[in-house]
This record gives sequence, structure tokens and C-alpha cells, in this order.
Amino acid sequence: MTNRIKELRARENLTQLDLAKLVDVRRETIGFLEKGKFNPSLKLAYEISRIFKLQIEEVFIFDG
Amino acid sequence: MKKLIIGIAITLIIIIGVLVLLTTETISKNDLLQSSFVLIIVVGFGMLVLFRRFKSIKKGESTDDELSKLILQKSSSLSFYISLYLWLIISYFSGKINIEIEELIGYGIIGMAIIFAGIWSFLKINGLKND
Repeated sequence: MTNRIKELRARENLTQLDLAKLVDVRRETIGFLEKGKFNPSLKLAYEISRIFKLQIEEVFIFDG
Repeated sequence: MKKLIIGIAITLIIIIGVLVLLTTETISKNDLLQSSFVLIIVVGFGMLVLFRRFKSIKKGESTDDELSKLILQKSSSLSFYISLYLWLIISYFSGKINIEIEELIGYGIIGMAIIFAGIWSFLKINGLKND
């Protein structure tokens, strides 16, 4: 699974820490998500997508 | 509240353990060394976790998110699994080498602590690819 968190975060002018605070996780978790080293729970994926005002499938791309 | 109770329970176990150790009539140098080693690993690990939590609180971010919980769960289960093999090896060698059984148990506990700390550190650095 890949995601567009880094790109969307840059577009919204948010730092990793800003986004981490908004979705109530640690900054490292956002870092691992961006690097594709961690797949989020459905709840976290939903919260991140909501911050960017997008659908989950627009942020997280399941590539088989 | 649950975390506070667990924290108090762990502290009590450590204090009781140290008291039992100190009140034992004869403490060999080796026993003391082993106990100190385990204590250093446990306290060191606790201090590291506390330090990270204070750092997170200072930054205003979450102290216990889903990745931290997953890493803790994964390292606990993995270290338990690996420890089974460690005890198997220890029990195999217990009849072959001339070491007191208490000493062997001490080495086993040290091994378990090192295995857990190693796996936890590895996952903290490399992340958890939970596909």
C-alpha cells in the first residue's frame, strides 16, 4: 500500500509534527507512514484523509 | 488508572526483589552481578520509555499511539517465542556444563531482557510493516 501523505502535507503546508498532533499520533508514526514502513488502521487512515478533506482511497492507494 | 496500577505493581516487585536479595544471608558476587545487570536493563529501558514520553508531552504529541502499542505487542510476542528456544538451549546445556541452576536461571532472565530490548529497539528504528 502506498500513500500521498507527504505530498498532501506539503500542499497543506503542514509539518510531520503538525499532522501528528492533528490525528493524535507520534511524529515518528507519520514518518513511518510516509516511508511506507507502517500501514495505518482504518480509523487512522480515515482521520488522516479527513484532515486533507479527501476520501481514504484518494490518500491511500492499495496496489495489490 | 490501569497504567498507574501496573507501574506501582512493577515498582513493588522490583523493591521486594531487591529487599529479598539484600536480606539473603549469602549473596555471591556472581548473583549480585547478574541481578545488577537485569536491573540495569529493566531500569534503563524504563528510563528510555519515560524520557521519550516526556519528550512527546513537551512537543504536545500523543505519548501512546497505535504504532507504539503495535511495536510493544509485537516485541512482547516475538521475545516470548524466541525465549522459549533460549530456555530450551539452557535446559540442554544445564546437564552438560558445571553451572549452578540459579546461575543458569539468571542468565536466562538476562537473555530474555536482552532479546526484548533488542527487538523493541529494532522495531522502533525500522518500523512495523504490518501487511
